[in-house]
Amino acid sequence: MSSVTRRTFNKLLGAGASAMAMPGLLRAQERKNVVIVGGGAGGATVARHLAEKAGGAINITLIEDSEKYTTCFFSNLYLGGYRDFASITHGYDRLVNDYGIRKITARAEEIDRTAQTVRTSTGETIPYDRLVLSPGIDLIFDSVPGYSKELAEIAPHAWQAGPQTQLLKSKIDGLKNGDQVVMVAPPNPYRCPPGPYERVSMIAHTLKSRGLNDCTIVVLDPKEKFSKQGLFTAGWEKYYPGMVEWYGPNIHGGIKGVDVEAGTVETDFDTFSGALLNIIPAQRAGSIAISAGLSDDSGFCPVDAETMRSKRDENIFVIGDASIAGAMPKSGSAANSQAKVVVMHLMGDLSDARVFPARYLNTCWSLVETNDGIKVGAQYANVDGAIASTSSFISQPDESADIRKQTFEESVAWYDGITKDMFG
Amino acid sequence: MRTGHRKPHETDGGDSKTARGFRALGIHKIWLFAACGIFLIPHFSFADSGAQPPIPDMPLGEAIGQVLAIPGDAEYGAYLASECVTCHQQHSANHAIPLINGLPREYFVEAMLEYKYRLRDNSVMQAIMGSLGMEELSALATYFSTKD
Repeated sequence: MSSVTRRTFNKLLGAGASAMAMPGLLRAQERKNVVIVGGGAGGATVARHLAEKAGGAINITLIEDSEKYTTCFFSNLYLGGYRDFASITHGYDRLVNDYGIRKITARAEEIDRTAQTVRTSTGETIPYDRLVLSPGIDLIFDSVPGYSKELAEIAPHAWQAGPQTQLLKSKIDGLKNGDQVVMVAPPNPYRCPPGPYERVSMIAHTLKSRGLNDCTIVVLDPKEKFSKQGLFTAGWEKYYPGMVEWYGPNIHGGIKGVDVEAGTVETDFDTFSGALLNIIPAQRAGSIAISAGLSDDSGFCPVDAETMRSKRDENIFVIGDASIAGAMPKSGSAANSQAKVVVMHLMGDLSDARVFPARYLNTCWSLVETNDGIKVGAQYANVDGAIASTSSFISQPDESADIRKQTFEESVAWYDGITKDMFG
Repeated sequence: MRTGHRKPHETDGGDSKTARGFRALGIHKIWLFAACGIFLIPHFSFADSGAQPPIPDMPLGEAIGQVLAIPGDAEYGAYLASECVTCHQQHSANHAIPLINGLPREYFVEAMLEYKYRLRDNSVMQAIMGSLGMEELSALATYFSTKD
């Protein structure tokens, strides 16, 4: 697909394109425009790596509505008291000052795929030769009947990091001994498969640290099983005995709805009361990707397994949580890896840089208790048109405390690495 | 002592490497595919156990020699390395993930193959090397040997 696309693109460019002999030697009068929507693990990584490769020969515009970006990954460690909020919040200063990227602090409101422009909430219309969409997820609030964006100010989801994360933290800190927390976990597919269960561990850790041993955390899950289930369950029994109760649909019979004011979640079999409700609803691609017509019935965006190009528009790449990336989970690690493939193809499209077979990688780290880190991950490649795993690993239930500590230390080093990789 | 990132003089002797290198049959085919750059593993489920391609039956020493004999394609290496540098950052002061810029080509190839042969025990690195072919490894080694 990539060679066809490049030929098509070169034809569009006309004779001038053949003059581009080397990557980074684009002629000034032919500077191409790459627009990136979303400044998270996908978008920021594309921006920084493309700027490095293109060496100023491509105009790069990053549209992201936050001044500073709080990472969802490691936000559970903030809830657990292991990180402060500043340490998971990052600015775009280096991308702007050191890499020459234009950052527009605004929402992308509309994409005109015919004119190849993006209109922002600040009223600008930005032209693109190639567009990268990494908008993350939108929450489908009413997938849990009774829940809404407004009620999230009382019963936080905290599934998009920022003020919601701080709100959840303050509510956890306000709990008293004997209080119950009720989490409604999301249905597949959703951002960060182990995230809800790491969060349960981190809430249990903070409660236990404060001596609130009579508190309970009830998880009402629409799924029969979840990521790293055996490892989490063993950790909960070991560190937080009697504190965590997980109920799948074969026990609760189905989640009927939430009454946020009353502090209750109703299921088919019972009604659960909580001093704190953490409602994580179903998810879909960020609305800009959907309104641009790039999604399918699943609410996410089909992409080519070799390039991450939208199957609906070859000038647009969709990466991260918004994409349907085969066997890859929705994670910051996955988005960062997909970004590298996209940068290679942007350089292939816009200069005549060589392109190579795509390789993808994901690692999901979780903390269960102090110095008890677990991990799951895989390598992926395009196998017969789908992104499929070629090798994988997962922490073992019987491994030593030293290995768990080492895994936690690796996760901290990974966080330092990926955030430098994103933000410079 | 961190076992995940042992130096060569800290690893098992060459005997055990060679002995383990003769495990499993029919793996030459995988090396062949890898050398052609079409390293494809069919779909299968990994459930919750993790899954890796089998350890090659070629003795480690021979594999090292073969990889080093392939001229390293630095441009290919630059793409492949973009995956590595998420964790192995140039300026990272954190010791849990080592710096790899500037590693000599010979050392790099030997160390990475020791992950592929599961003689080094970091599971992330084992999985990465498990699906990396000879041409790719040669390209990476060339790329990183030229970085400071």
